[in-house]
Amino acid sequence: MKKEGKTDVSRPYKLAHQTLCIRAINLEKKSLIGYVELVIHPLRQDLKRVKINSKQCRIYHVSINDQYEAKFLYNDPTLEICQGDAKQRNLDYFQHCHFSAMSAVDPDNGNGEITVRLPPEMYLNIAELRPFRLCIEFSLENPKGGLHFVVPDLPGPAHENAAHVFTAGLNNCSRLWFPCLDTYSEPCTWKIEVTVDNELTAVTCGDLIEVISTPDKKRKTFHYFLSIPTSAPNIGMAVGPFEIHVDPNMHEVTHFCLPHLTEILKHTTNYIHQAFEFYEELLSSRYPYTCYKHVFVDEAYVESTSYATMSVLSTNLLHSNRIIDQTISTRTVLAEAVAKQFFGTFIAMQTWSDAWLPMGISGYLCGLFIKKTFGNNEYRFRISNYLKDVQDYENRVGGIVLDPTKRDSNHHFSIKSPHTVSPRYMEAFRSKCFLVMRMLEQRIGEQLLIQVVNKLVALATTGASQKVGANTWGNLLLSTSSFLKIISTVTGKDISPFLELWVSQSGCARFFGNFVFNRKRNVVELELKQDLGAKGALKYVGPLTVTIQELDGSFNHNFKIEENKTKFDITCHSKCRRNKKKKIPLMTGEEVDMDLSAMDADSPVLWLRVDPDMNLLSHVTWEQPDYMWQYQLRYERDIVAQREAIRALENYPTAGTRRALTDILEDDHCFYRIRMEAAHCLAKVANSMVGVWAGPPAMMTIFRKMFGSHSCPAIIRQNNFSNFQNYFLLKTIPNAMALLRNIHTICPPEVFKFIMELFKYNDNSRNKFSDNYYRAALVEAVSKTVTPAITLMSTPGQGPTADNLSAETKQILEEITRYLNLEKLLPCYRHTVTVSCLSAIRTLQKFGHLPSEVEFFKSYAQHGVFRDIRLAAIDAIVDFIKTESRPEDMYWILNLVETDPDLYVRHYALQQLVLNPPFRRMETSALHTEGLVERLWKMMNCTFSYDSRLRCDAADVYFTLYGRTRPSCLPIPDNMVVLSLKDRKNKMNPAYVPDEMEEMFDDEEEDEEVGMEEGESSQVDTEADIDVTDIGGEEPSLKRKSPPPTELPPPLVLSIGSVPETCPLGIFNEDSASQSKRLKLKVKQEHPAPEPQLSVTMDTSSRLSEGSSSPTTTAVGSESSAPLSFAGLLPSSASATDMSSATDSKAHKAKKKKKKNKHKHKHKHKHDRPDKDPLGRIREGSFNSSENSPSVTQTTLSSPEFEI
Amino acid sequence: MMTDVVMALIEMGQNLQGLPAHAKRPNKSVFLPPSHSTPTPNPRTLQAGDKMPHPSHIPDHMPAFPDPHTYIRTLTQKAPINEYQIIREKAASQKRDVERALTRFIAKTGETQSLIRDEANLFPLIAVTPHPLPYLNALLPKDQDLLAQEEEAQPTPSGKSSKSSQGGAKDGETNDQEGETTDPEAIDNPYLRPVKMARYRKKGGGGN
Repeated sequence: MKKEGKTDVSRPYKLAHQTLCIRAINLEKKSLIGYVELVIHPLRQDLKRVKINSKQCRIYHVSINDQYEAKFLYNDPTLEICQGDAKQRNLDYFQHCHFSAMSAVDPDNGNGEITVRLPPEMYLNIAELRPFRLCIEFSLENPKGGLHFVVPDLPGPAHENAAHVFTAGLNNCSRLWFPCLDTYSEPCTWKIEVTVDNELTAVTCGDLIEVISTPDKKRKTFHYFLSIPTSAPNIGMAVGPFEIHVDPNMHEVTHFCLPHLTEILKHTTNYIHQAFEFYEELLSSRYPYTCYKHVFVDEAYVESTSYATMSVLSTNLLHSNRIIDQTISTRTVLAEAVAKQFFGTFIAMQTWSDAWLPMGISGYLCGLFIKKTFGNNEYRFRISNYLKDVQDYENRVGGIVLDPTKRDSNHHFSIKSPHTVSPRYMEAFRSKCFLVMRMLEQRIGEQLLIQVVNKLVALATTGASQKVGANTWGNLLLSTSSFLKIISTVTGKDISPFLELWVSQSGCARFFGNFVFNRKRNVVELELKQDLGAKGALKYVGPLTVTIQELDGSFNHNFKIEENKTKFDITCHSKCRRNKKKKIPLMTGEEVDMDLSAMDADSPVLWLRVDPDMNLLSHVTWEQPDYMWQYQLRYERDIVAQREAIRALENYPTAGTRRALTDILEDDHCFYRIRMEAAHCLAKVANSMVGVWAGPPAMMTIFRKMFGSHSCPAIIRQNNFSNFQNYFLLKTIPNAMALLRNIHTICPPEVFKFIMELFKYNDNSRNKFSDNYYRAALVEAVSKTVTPAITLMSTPGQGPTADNLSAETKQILEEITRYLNLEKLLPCYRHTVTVSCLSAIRTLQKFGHLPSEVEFFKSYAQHGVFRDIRLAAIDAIVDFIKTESRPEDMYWILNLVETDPDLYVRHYALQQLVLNPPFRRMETSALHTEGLVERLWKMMNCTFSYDSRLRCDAADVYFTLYGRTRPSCLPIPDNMVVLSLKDRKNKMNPAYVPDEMEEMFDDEEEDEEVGMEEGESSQVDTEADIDVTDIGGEEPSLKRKSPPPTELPPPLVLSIGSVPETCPLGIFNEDSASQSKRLKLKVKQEHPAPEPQLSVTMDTSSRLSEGSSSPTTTAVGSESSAPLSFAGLLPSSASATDMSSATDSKAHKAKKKKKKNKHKHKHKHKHDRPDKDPLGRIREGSFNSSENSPSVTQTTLSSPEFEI
Repeated sequence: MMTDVVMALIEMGQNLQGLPAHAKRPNKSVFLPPSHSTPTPNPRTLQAGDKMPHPSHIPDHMPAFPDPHTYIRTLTQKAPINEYQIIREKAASQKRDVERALTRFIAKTGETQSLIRDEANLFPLIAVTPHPLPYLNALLPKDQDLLAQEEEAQPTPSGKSSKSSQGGAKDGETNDQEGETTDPEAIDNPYLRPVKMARYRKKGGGGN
């Protein structure tokens, strides 16, 4: 079924099985040691080299079938992207180099950082295409990415301090912690063994077969086996002193959390069996794996990452039963993690250009779960949010191409590799995947799409149960072409035009239109144009639905959008004269009474909607009179329509609008999110009408009616949040009211007093829910009342002194101080109140009510404070940098970005710099200096080589500040020609290995030691090259490795002849030695200084085993660089030991195999509980609008009786 | 006769039969009632109300009762307030005062930060201190009101029964949980199984 050919060409072998054995993990030292063993089936008889991905790991030795040592070469061009060009500072050049560096190690191009040369003894074996085992011993010390160690700064043993480690990364970053073929397209079965201290638990992919204590009884080994073929990027691990909670409803699901959190873990996960039931029922197929594990960790890289049979989640998702807001988001995250088990890990993408499929399908499945759990309104609301996000991104930043094989985009980064893509792009990309999948659902029908998905799962399940030889493991991979094929098989439909339109090109359709009613013809004349000039616009040709609500009912009309056609007619059904008594039928079939006095007496049209079901990725600017929007808001049942109406009514500040919004706000049949939006819109409308309005401030009366106590409406009732709709309104209305302004454009004093009284009378003593989010909302509200201060400042730049603080400021500060101080003594959940207080203080500073002070925020941004607070403080600091432009603050935050232990905080700080940049290109600023350029350039060029998210973030910042061209603050390099001539040899990126070099490496037959380049050594090289100048373009290229797609010069590669002099130290100090050691000696003499840096620890064992005499200096160096923490485990004594142990493992594995079969049948679903009223329903009742407000429920709008 | 007295006399070695004789002995001394002294009359103008007569068991020679207003209870304060508004008002200001006093105290005794430089006393903020495990405080909040906690703690039996009456789901779950606590063997989860001992010797703890 799947296309195998493409990958086979570039990778002449197949992976059948991989063993990953972690022999020891040292949490304090942040290191681990182990080996991997890959069972490789050669596909070509002349296979001589095998390429493996590995970064950051130290490789000790590589052996084949436990018999032969194999020579290997290590080179990683991604450590430093633009090495030769010390003065190149434009982003286009970087982008090009970045992508080619990534391709140079991309396993899908048949590349990898490690090249292993198979020993000649194996040639016979390979000629017979017999599988062989490739064993790589490695260790990892203090990793900067891929694997994250959380070691709290507490005395005592690590396991008592909740120290733990887990895999942290996004796509294809397993190579950062163990050598593997780091591609989704090479699934294999896995045996994973992890030996840890007795107090720790190791959680990884697959079934836990057994836990065996080591002979000294101090440690134990967790044996896992994963029988379903899985690709390396889907392998994850977490080790720590976890508390274990077995799901009471599904015993095969196990939850893990850090110490002391079991109680909230139980509450958080108590509904997850419903997600499993839902997906299994929907797909009518079993959950593909035999077990599932949730691990909640601190300092998580992202909220959730999915691996085969397990998810690593942020511990901050845990919550108790007193928390409302977090429940909704946590459930969504957990449900999506389960969906990703089906699509994402079990069925994975074939290549990066197919990533949209598993992402889209898992997002779609999760969407259906949300629809069931939180109701259709919530589902549609989210869709409309995603749609808006995607539109905004494409309009402001640039197009999103789901399948980038055919077209690249015009971004400042390449979208063809997961490692080069901007994280912001990825967010929008994910939303777009989901939207496109949902559009496909509407195109081919929900039933059929589910059938397709079901078929995919069924095929994958059968494929997975076969042996590797059967070549069915490709069924576990999903590619655009195979998806196309399976859709046509199942449904008989050809969706390639659909894919061509939405998947392989970017953009949203942008319509703007209006209409007039022609009374004579009884026809609505519609004009619809597309705005093709806008950024991120797409020229849409195809069907479009327009819904018209007339007096006699609602009707759908389908038009065909063609080029150059903009006029359309809709013949009306209703007569103009209307029957007073008659009720008006809506799309849902309901009939309602309407007050029709507002509308045009001649026209039967109540309102019109374009693309009501969001069948297209489109942005519609629609013109209709205000009364139509008001009718649409009041009577249309689709919440998306109500939303559109609210947005449009902002521009019609009339009494009618005000009435409509007020009615919606009060209507408890209306979806709560719509009411919340109505409140904000009402504030805007009231502000526009401030001159003509007399009476109490908007919403004051409503609020008192809803929340005031009976005997005294001015005092708010004691909190009781059991009605969730009211709870959300309670949080929203004060915020909306705080936006009210009187004629002097300040917040009316009675509103300010009202908010202060909410503070005063807040009483949560009888509430079963926590009021932390409500209190945070109050702080937020009070900060929104603040308007720019009118002060007479004698010294500019200084804020007011203590004496001239205004009365309101003092009151606000009084509350903030009290709340902030109280938070230190009685902290609330996730410190939401502190977060709001920090942002309120920044607001006061910004508007000149307080002196601007950044040190305060810096203390809250330090490591060791809860992450949410840190993020809020970083927001404030970034904002401060923008207004004050002090270089020391900018460097402070860059320092945080470079050194903070929490990787997410670093990423967040960079993202904030993108969203709220201190300056933009072409702007002048005190920060616009060469030093900053160099700092950022260094970050993206080499500092973040182990974390592609940070590297791309840094590139985003660079782009925001300087654009794509060379920053204007840099001097123009003038004498570069001379320099570059002189140093021509250094221009090559030393990490690029030209093919001919590899050939040489191949051809050499002596048993020479194999050198490798370590991260440090390459950096040393850089240091040496740093004064080299060139702009590149003028250089005559000697030989090119890969033809460059742009005008920019690729890193030059030297011809063979020049290798001995120009090759950077460490890579090839042996390759030239095919001839002799004389040459090597010469190299060493030439560069004596960096020699110790090139320590090649990994050589030790191979050298020892082969008994070759090696220079003692290197040997000493290698000994000293071995991780001390594993002194006993180092395979330094002799390779013979390791070989024997590896043989052991083989025998052991055979035994395990039998075991595994026993466990295979253990998977039983025990959750077929009979109740129709599960626990979750009780909890969710209020969210589920279909229960609470039945009239709001959306029914299928395309019911046949409405078709014309 | 009182038994105690009898017992006491016996203890003292007295003869009980001699008592009546002793009481009727001829030369016993007799206490005279005090001579009636003239009470200082209160000025009529100062008298308020009628004095109460002595009850029967109080001899007449005892001083008369004082004026009634000096000892009869009179209501001096108004009825206790039970007006909602005022109670809320009081509760709010009391809570606020307690909180403010507490935070000020902590702020005074510990390290502080200030929003306005050189004005440390104006709005003293307790300084933020990093914690090695910051998530614990954030996820296990302490801001729950005591009242709510008490209510949660007290009606546990009734609360449970009401919950379980809501649906079979709850029942199933509690049963499951009970089953878990009583019989861990019933759940077949590999993480609950005991650690096995090494069955054969391994070298270096790894490579098995």
